[in-house]
Amino acid sequence: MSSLPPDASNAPQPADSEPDDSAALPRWAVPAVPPPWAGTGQAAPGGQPPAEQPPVETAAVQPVQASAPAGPPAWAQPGAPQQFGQPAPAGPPAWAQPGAPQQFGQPGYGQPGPAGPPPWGQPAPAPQQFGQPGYGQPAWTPAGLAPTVARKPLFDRQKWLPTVVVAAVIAGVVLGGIGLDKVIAAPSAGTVNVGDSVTITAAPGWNRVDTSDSGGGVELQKANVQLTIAAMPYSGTAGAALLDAEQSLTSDTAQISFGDEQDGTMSGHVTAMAGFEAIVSGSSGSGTFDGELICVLDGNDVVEFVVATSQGDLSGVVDDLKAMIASLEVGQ
Amino acid sequence: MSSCVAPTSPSQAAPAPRWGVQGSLIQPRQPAFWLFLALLGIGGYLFVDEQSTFSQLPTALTLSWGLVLLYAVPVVLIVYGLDLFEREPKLMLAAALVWGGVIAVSLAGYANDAWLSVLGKVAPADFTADWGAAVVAPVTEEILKLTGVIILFLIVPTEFDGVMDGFVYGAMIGIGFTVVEDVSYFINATAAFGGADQTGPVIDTFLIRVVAGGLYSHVLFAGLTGMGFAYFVTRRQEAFSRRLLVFGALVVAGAGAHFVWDSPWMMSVLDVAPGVDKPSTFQWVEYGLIKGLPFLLLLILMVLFATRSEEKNFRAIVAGEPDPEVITEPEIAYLGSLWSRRKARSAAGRIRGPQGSRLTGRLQAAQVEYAMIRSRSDTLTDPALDAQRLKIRVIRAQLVAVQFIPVAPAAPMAAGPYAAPSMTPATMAAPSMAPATEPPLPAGPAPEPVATAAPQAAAQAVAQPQPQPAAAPIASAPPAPPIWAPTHLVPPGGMAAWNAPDPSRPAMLNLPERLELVVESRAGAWAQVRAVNGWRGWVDGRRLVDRG
Repeated sequence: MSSLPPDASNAPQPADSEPDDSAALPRWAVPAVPPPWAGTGQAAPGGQPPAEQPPVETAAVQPVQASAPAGPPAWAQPGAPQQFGQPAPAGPPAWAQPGAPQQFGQPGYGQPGPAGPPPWGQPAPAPQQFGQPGYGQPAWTPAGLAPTVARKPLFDRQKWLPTVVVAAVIAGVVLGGIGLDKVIAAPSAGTVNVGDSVTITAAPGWNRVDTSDSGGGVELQKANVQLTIAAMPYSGTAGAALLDAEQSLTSDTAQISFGDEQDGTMSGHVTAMAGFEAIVSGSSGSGTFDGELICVLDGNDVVEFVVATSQGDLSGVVDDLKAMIASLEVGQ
Repeated sequence: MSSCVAPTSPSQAAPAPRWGVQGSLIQPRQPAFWLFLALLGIGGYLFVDEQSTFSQLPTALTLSWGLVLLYAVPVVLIVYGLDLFEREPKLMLAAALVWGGVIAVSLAGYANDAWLSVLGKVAPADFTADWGAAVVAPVTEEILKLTGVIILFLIVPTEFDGVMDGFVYGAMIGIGFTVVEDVSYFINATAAFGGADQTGPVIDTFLIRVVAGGLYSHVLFAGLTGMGFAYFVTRRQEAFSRRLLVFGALVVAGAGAHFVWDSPWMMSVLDVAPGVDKPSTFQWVEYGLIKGLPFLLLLILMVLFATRSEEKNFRAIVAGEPDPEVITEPEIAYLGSLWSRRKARSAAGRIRGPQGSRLTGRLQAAQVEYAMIRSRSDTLTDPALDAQRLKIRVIRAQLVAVQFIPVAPAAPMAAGPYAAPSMTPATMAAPSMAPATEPPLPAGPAPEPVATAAPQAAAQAVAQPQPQPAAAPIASAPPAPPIWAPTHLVPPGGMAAWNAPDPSRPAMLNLPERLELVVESRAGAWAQVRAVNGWRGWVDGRRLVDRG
């Protein structure tokens, strides 16, 4: 019972069967499966516990094996049998030597064989032509000599085609749309009479849309932007006209909120304007709209411009609006 | 028996991807790289021009960027985190963000205007007014975003190893796109309201576009189309027609989600009562749920599919690892999702404290890094692999050395529902470094005796829950004393332990190095020791390291 622990020199032998008191051991305490490279630590009867090496090899915490010595391992030597999963040894295998017949299933089967001198009795290669590719290069390279390093092309040639296709798609989406828009004639409403005495010249692309709810004014549309223009006699200020117009719109549209009023002049006309955001749900159109309400005062008339479009699309028609307001004329 | 990863025969598995070989965006030999640069120049000019115009409303612009970044940064981190195993190169991810936010969004502005104008000329006015945006934007914008994924693929095709990569790059492009587009929306709303109030319109638009609809934005659309493309180019083991079909279906799904989102459908959800000027935020959220949730669920399903695929690749890479301490089947399972990884860290934190949680996180990262190295190594004896194995072992040793937090015996299982039967507080104190018994990765059963060990059988054993193999011996072990005051440590390299100081018996197990022990008695050179869980045994007392 209290004899000395086994010495390293007489380490105990492994037991053939489970020890009788193994049940007292927690199962977690049993070491894990040793890695294949690990040795088989053993315990021998007698003596004392080993001084240096544990008698039972552990898979738990092992010092890392020293790195492989420099140089290729044995299996990588030419001629050594290749092992599954290992990289091929340096140097060509026997079947790849010049003159050796290609074997089906071997790497390179179906590819041109290694360079070598032309077989005896075969016609020599055609003389090299000046200016032809390969001129000045040996007709064949003796086996074992380093082949001439081919210069890499500037670009990866395989990627040219897909890259060009992608570029063409992008160009088609952007430039194609712009070009098509220019090619297709933009029917314009031209000069439009608003009310009895006001005329404006519609910008290119703006078409007149006749709807029943334009309130006696004129409704123009370009793409998904709608512009309603109405003219009426008015004796107040542009700001007052703007307030009236806001109230009118509010009564027509349940969900609308206006921004702050901005007063100024545009092309010589006194203007008051306010942005708005509206949510419209109905048979004639649904969605969230950005809009601008502009009241232009000209003499005894006020001209209201109400432009609305899907959220985010308003900025594309600002120039058109300015041009149309500049074209505004009030007849006598 | 430790449940090391069973090797897979070549005939059973597809070739493992070379995750560890990461490509650079800078590829002057690739024509696509120069196309990217050219378009970056054009898009960059348009972007700077637009932002300088927006700067006329400085408060609104600053607030807009602040708000969108508040949304975008977590989304970027989530998308990045979803790529569980092979994280994409950061420069590539930055390129994707730039493509979306600088190139695609700038070009899309012109394309949308042009195609809407064309539509207005050829289609009825009412149709254009109602459906113009829904018809044009999904086509132009999704094409421009998808070409970004394709160009990144053409520059560095090796970075596309699976469907998840397509999602990551597509989503990053979508994030970039939506951030810049949102800023322009915020500024346009401010300008539409005259610009006097530079905060109200920004916040209102933020609530609508980000709070209510942020989950269904370009991240969703481009994520779907990107996955479709990645499916097409990476799953080459499948028939061409099938790949093409899946590619087309996912592109249609992405563009379709965009179409539904832009369409005037379901606007009645936003109807308000008389006297109320605008819909509530709740209505906007409801609106977003109805229009976007089905596609979001599709995306989630696809991401789960992609994650499974990534896990499969990971498994293929680490298959055949001879050292069972590197990674086990349960650990692979726990690496399979952000949720399970966090769960494992939390479990470790509960029983070993914050340090245990941190070490578990480091162990997980080291195991993923091991797979990266393994995927680019041609041989198992690669020194870099050895170094990584050592790193993993060191972390495991540190983890085992972390003091346990005492748990009351009557307390419920501290490790949570995912804990294996062996995860009782007593077993968690086991003096074994077998990974299956490690708390942070607790799904594995207790190890089997060496004599019965076989890697394949181990994997099968892990797959089948075992009826608490460790419970009986643990239950019969004497209860641990309330105060644990270890006096010695197991020396480096570990040491053998005997049930009795009888040299005629074989050693029963090997104790891992740095394991804390209490020496209870000595008999000559023998020392009777006790582990934290109450286990007792005999060791060579001369080799024990005094804790001092």
